[in-house]
Amino acid sequence: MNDNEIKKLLESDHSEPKVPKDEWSKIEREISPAKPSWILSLGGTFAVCLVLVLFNNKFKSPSLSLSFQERENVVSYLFDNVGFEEVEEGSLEEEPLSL
Amino acid sequence: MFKASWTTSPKKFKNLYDENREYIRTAIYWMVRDDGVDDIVQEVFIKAWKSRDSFKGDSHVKTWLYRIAMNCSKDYLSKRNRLRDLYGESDEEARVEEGGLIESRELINIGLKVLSPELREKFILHYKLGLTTKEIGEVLQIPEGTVKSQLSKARELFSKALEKEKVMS
Repeated sequence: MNDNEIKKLLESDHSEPKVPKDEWSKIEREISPAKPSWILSLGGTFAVCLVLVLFNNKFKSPSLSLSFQERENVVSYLFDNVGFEEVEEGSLEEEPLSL
Repeated sequence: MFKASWTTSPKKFKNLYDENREYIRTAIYWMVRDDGVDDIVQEVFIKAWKSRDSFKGDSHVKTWLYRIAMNCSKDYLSKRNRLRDLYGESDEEARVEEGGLIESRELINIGLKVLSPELREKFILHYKLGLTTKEIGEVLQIPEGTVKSQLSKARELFSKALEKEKVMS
């Protein structure tokens, strides 16, 4: 075969595949500067801490730190209202409650 | 120090991609002749970006991209040939399709198959992409005389394979 015959034969083949639509985006993903990993890990740590704080605020038990006056009020309330009717007579004398 | 504008940002590099992707795809497709072409095109442009500092501007960017494309294609062909040696030729490759245009494609495939990657690259660059022997020498960084002799050998092997096929059919 001479040069022209070869060229003609090669020209007769139009089977070349088309350019995929997302080709550039795939290349761009590879060549764009990646964020440093320490930024990502810092972000992740911050997010975890934030979630823990929010979770704690939402579900934490009510504070039990009371002032002296409040504790006195609570004890008075308990003495006045809660189940001392069932306490046997004499037991209070033997073991007096100390506050 | 020389610095081409496309080396400065991915956005500017896209212009280079837009201007060159067509012929690079053609070169790769004719080298490998299968659907691995998409991956190789991506690989070529990713490599071009990553090695942009090695582009000194002493050759045309087209020549430089051709060189990367040919190297990636040859790597792909080597891997493919190794796999074929291990597992044999795939059914898809061996299948002979029907129809006029497909017939010429099959004929071309038969001719290309007998060419080593080294001979095939010169054959494609010259007969399909229209590069002169001097330009091929610049792309592949080899003397023009070597291009001429290998091109002559490639043409001979290609023609013989096709004649043999015609005789057999």
